[in-house]
Amino acid sequence: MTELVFYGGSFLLIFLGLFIALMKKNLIKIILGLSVAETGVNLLLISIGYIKGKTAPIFSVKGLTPQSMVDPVPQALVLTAIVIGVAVTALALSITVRLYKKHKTLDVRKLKNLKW
Amino acid sequence: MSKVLVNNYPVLIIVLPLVVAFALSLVKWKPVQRGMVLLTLLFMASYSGFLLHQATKGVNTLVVIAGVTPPMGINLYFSKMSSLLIFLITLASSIIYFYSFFYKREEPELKFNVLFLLITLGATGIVATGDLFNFFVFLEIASISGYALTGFNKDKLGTEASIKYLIIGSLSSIFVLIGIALIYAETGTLNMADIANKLKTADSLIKSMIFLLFLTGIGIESELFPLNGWAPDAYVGAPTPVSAFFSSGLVKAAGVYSLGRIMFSVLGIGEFEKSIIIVIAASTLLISEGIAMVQTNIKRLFAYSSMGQVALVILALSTGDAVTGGAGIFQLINHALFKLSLFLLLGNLALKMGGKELENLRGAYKKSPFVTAIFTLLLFALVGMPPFSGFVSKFFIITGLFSKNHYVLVIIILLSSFFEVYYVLRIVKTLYSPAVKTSNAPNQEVKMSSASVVPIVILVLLTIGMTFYYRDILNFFNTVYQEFSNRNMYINNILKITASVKSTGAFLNFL
Repeated sequence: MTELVFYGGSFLLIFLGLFIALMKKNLIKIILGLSVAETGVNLLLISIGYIKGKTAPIFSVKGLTPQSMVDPVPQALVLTAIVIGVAVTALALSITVRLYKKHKTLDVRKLKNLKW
Repeated sequence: MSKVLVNNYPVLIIVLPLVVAFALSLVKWKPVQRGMVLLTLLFMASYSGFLLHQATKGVNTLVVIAGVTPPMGINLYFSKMSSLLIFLITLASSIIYFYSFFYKREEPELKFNVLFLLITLGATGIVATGDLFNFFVFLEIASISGYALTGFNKDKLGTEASIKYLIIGSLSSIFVLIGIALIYAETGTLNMADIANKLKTADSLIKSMIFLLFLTGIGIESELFPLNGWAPDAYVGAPTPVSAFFSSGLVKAAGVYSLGRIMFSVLGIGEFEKSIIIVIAASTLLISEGIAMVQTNIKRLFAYSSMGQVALVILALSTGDAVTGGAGIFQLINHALFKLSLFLLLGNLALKMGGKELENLRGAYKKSPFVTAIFTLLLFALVGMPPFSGFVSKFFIITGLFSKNHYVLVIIILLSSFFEVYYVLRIVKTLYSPAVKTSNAPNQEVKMSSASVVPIVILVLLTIGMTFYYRDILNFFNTVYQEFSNRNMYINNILKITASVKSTGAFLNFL
């Protein structure tokens, strides 16, 4: 039953992030929305690997067997995905800084130099 | 029956560009940097050409990383189709990089070299990989390099194009990652062949959801309608070598391959989903060619044209027929080579005439007659006129569709070819009309000699030569397509090599 909370919460985060990315007009809020959606996807990936009652897949205490651990594969995936998300957000914000210097506005409705 | 060779040396196709890209920052002299990048790209092209030659003789190459055999580990798979596409991508990339020497130097040059090498690596990795998470990582490498390269001109157009590409590209990576999460929840593995094996008995609702998510994610990367709003802006805002890279369809070819591999081999979709892809590709073709008719900026026109042509390739590959599929692969190669040459000549002409709008090219036949003549010939080749090889590929796509009674598709393709001819003739008319005396002086300090056109002339002669051997070439591409769409052969080739690797020891293979 607790798995439903994780899955539901992650899909809610993805939906919220996409909603923000689509509805907001300020460029920084759009980038924040994308970041929220990526967090939701990472949460979804980890909660797929969760097994009830098991612990983290690290051999921290002597005598810990692989049978008492959660699935480590999604955790490796999520580490990579978090790093990629950070890189994309950093790139997006640096392009936003330069865009503000050139266009003097952060409103996406005013970015109309490339039309049709 | 094809054999599979387990050989670890092809991993250099992925590893060497990574090492060189990060070692470039240690090298201070510009010519040495450029030489290193060019040599790496040529090495990738020649090695993948060698793997293609081996695959043609029936030996597919499988790279098993770290000796951990396929259902558990990471592997790279070089079959006929993947090595053909890697050969195309790296060869086209090295030609574009060589030509970028003649243009205005992109500042800062070190970062341009690194990003160019990384985007080629990303496109290569998408095609070569046999593992679903590696696919995501290489997709992100190619996308992030694309975002940075699009905004390389630090002007208004470049930054706007780059942020648009970035926002929509992030959406694509989110959808692909949700699809990967669902596949992992359903099958418990990330190896593409193993997933293909396990999804044979899966619930069809899950398969439909995964299909939709991957179609959206990869469709943004391959610029299918309605997911391609970012593409024309990105091609216009990027510097010319980067536009040439995008427009000749190299990252798009990787997208087409991954669409084919994931949809046909891994998911094993049925007729209904294939018809959805056909409808989307046909509408992209018609709409892109239609919009291209009203463009005045040549870069934007070529962008819409590229989107339409790659949609035609996806259309041909999705019908499932060997003749149409083979002709579709040939069309992909033809289009890449012609678009590449067109962009490079466009850069040449734009330097002499002072701009990339259609009006700037008016009267170009007086200022540089030789370049204008080759440009016109390439435009005709793009449309599909004989004796160029574009004629062969388009003709066999249309006849293949006609023989399977897909009359509506034939009408759509013919209508879009009609649109193509319209805008091509418009460009030719502008090129050959008398020059208007304007005060728009061309850029005097940068000159491109007409001798740089010579490799393109050789390319044009090569395509004329290919038309005369069309039967052998088409038979070869038919076999490539049949191997590409053969799901069981893909699964067997990768999963059944476990015994042979364990007996010989993969470490010994590497030595």
